[in-house]
Amino acid sequence: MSAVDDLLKHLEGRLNIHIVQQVLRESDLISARSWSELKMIIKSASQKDPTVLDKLKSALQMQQLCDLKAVSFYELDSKATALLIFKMKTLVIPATDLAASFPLGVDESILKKNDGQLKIIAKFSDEFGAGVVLSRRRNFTVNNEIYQSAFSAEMKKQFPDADKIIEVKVYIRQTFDVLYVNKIHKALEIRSDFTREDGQQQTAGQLKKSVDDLRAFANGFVSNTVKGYDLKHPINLLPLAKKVYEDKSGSIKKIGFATEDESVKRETMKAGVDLRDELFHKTGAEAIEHKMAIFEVAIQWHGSDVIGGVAGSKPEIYIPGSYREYTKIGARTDYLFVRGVRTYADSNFILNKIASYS
Amino acid sequence: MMFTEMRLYEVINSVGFEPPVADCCKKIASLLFSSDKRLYYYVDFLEACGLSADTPQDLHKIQFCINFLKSNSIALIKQEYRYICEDVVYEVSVEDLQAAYEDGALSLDFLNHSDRDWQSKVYVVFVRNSVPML
Repeated sequence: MSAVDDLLKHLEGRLNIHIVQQVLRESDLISARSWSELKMIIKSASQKDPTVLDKLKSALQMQQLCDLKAVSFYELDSKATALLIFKMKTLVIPATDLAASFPLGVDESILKKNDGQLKIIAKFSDEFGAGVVLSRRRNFTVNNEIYQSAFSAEMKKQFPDADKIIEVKVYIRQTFDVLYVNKIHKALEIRSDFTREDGQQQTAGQLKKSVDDLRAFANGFVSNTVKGYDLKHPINLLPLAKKVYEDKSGSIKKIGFATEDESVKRETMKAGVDLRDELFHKTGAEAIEHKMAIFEVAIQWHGSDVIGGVAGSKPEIYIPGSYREYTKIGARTDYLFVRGVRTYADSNFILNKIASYS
Repeated sequence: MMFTEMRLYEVINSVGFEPPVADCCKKIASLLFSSDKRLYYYVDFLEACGLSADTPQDLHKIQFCINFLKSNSIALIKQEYRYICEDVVYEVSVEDLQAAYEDGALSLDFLNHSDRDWQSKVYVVFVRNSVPML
């Protein structure tokens, strides 16, 4: 496979199609609706102008660092902020296959040999702060049910009493996690890659491992860099859910809340439309004087709201939760899901929002 | 409104459909005119005609009526596509679907990832046109 084909394969697997369309438009090339057409356009354009590939690679890098992550936020003091940023900007990245390939992933044959431990493979800095990228191999499984009617003769002999068999296939995937320090907000972002397959979200168990492993690594990294510093807990996002609802900008996509009469409601809205404008929700909310205990919320913004962002991007955050969790003593939501974040400015925008809600 | 409904029945009668099909068309038309509801699903039309999704001939009949009511000269309803993911509904255009077939994955404006498993999540809705052509 040629280098260009290899790159295109990676782009299709990881990069948001709208980013590719944007890059082509910015390069004065025609855009297209499907990946099949886009790949042809990119291939022919790159023969005349190889910088198109560089632009796509750097767009891929930005997206890889910021998008499709479960993010926890930690407050740092000034000293820790400065030391961490310095460390992140100056540390030496060990030379590995994963590091050499970044921002592209490695081939399956190389990934198979990876030990599955989080290792730093790259560092980066932008106008808002600095960060490091960690990567490793994860094993994910996909289950397939095979019903008795589809059994072969041998299977029927081997499993005479089975009504169905569950086929479990293991596949490996390279994940990209990020530790990032924003210097203005003095915040550490722990961003866990939540994908298990081309934008598909990991299951609860898989996600727990992603978040726990990264948090453990972060604790080690921080205490090595800032002697004796204890990261403690991430900021609790649960109380912020209601602030998200009060944010006039953006469109609410999803909400979970309980009313004073203890009716638990989950509502969603068609994409691009604000749930708060929907007649049923609006009337209901007014009728109960907005006395809603909000435990879950998803909101999406337009790129035009983001300073330095890309017009046409649609960043969204989703603070997950359930009523049962909300009612517990010490209820907390440690992370939120981020999607549609294409640039460092989009990431900073989200942190600004979280800071404004606190 | 009443006038347009009567006019539509006249058209249905004059077109020369087989009686069961003409009957079905009139029942769907009646449903559409009976309220100012805008959004309809296959199940609504099947129910209006007393037909079953289990019988291929019934589905064929319904589709025939739908095609008639969507046609350029009648334009009483529009057929649109939607995609649903994690309980959030997204509008989908025909071009989006064509691209999805080419790519093996669906990409949409407000959807921040491409979905390979899209075919099980796409469905059809019918939207009543506010101003019928008749």
